[in-house]
Amino acid sequence: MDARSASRELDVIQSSFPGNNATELKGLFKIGDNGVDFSAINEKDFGHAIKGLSDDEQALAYGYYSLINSTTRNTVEVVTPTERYSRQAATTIFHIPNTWTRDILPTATGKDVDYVGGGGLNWSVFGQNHDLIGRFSIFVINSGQTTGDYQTSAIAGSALHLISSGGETSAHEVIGHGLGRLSSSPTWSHEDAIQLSNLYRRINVSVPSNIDWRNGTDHSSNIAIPYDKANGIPDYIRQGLFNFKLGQALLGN
Amino acid sequence: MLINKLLLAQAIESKVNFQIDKIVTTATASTEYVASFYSKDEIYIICRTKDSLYVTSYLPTAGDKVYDVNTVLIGKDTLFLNTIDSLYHNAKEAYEYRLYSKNAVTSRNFLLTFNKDNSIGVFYKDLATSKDLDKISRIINRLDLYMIRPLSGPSRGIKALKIENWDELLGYLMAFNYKRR
Repeated sequence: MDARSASRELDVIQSSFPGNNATELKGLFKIGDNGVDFSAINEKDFGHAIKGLSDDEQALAYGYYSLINSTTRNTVEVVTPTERYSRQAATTIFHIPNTWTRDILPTATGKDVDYVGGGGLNWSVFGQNHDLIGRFSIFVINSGQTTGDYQTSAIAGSALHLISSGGETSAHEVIGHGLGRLSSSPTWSHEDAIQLSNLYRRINVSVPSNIDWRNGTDHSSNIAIPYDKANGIPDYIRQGLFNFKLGQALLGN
Repeated sequence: MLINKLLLAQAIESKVNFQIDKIVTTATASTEYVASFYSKDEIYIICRTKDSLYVTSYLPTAGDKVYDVNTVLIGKDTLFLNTIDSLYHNAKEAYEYRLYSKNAVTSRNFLLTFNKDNSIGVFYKDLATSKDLDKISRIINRLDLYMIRPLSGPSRGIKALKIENWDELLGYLMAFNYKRR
């Protein structure tokens, strides 16, 4: 989107991989000379960098790798609750149906994203021919907005209301909804995004017994997703990563 | 792998053509027009009756299974209603349309069809003026806005439907029209 968002998204992505063995991978995520676009990642370098990472880390890394190397146009804007968002985002946010009234007007700041999107939104970008050419994501860092479908045991019960971190929201919006939609995933609108939230949390919550997982009852269709499915990995990542690793093995890398 | 992917894409496209044709040709007399938009494996069907307009979106497959079926009843969204209604009226009144045939669906991602003298008229982008194309852009962008899924909290108007196969979906679309008669 702009240099500020690029720098924040870079930090969000790199911070999503906390282990020491991810140093090489983090180094592959870079912003190009124009200060805005991420640089394409070399296949062989990526294949080398993910060796030794857990399955979950590899899956999340592959999601970002796929988007960065994609020919589609994916824009990410990152704001705080008090910062103004871009005019490009405003043209969508101001016009989201059934949202704004005389009493509740948009402020053109991150507060709107909290209000409309619970901290994050993602929509399609169409080209001149009306073909889908990319996705636009916006999310709030330091959001005060809670999400009310975090479960504390495998059998869903009374939910916790927690605030999603920037890393979790990025995984949810940019990969779950964004890459999911661009990959024509049949479950992009709900399941994939919830799976990406949970994938991020499995990597980043340090005490495994304290991992809370989202079951999707406070998202999209509000359909409850059972534990095993909510903690799965979308097909376009699982299958894509498998094909990638197979390809690398066949090349002798 | 690439060949498999291409074959699957072709199979889905052929299914999409079949399904849109079926929807267009079985629309009831109470339907003023049906517009369809297809983009990267997502279909939007816009049905306009005299007193309402509703949108149904879904993801087709190469078989009879359908995914992610949602519906939106457009109520007071005059911006959307006026834009698509004017596209329809212009097409019909200015004779910017052709008689519908199955071929009209092929390779066209936007169609607007309506009853005209006991046959079906069809308007598509090849017949559109630059003003029409602007309207189509606005319609498509607006459809996408309805489909936004927030990180948490309610969606802004869409209702998820528990429909998982094509016959059931077609039945739903047709029943809706009958109810509105």
